[in-house]
Amino acid sequence: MLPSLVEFAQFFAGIIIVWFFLLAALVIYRATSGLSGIVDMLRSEERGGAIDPERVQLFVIFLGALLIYARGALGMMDGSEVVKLPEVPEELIAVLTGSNALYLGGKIVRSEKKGN
Amino acid sequence: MTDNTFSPIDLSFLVAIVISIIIMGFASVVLYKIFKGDIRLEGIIQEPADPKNPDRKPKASLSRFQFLIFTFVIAGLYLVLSLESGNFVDVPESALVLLGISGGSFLISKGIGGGKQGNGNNLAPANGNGQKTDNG
Repeated sequence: MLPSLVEFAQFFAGIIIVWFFLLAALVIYRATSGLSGIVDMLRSEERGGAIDPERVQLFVIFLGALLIYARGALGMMDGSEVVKLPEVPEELIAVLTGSNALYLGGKIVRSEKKGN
Repeated sequence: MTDNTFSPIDLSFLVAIVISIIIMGFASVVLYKIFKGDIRLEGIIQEPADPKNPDRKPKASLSRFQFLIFTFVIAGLYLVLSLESGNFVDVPESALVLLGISGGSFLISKGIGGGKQGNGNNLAPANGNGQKTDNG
């Protein structure tokens, strides 16, 4: 017996989601060249390849913020009608802004030191 | 009239299957080419090569990486929730602020990198064709 159009659409929607996450994983893997590329991002040329604390804090905080947000968004899939993506908590935005400011501040200071 | 006539529902189902197969075919080719390395993505989050030291391997940029991940996560959640609910969901301002923070960080980081390169000499960095290179 053939499935209904709705069942087929749900099946195809599942395939699209799987494809999108495969695409994301492949793009991230290729762009970073694997784990070595990610570790490389945490190093700075200004300090001769040493790992920078401000880079590590940004990496940890932004991944944590994304996990918190994604968990909240996926938690909305409980069968109730979803009309919009979840709001991002103000505290999360503040933490992320501070983290990025710290990263950029560190980058500016190290860049200035290298220039002098 | 026999029972094996072709109804409009059957026709729509057939068209849906054919269109889905075509889309999946294109999608599979994109994934395959990225996997095989025919679509090169190594440079999308790399900082530009230092013009003073062109032999040095360019490293991946954290702010570009952050921007890439944010974009994928927001787009992925939008896709999942839209497919789940059956209509296009709204994107709240705070989610756009998240994207804006990472995009702004990338742009400022690009500015710092550009300024650093500009300190070495006043000539614009150029590639082999005499064109200006991206210095972000």
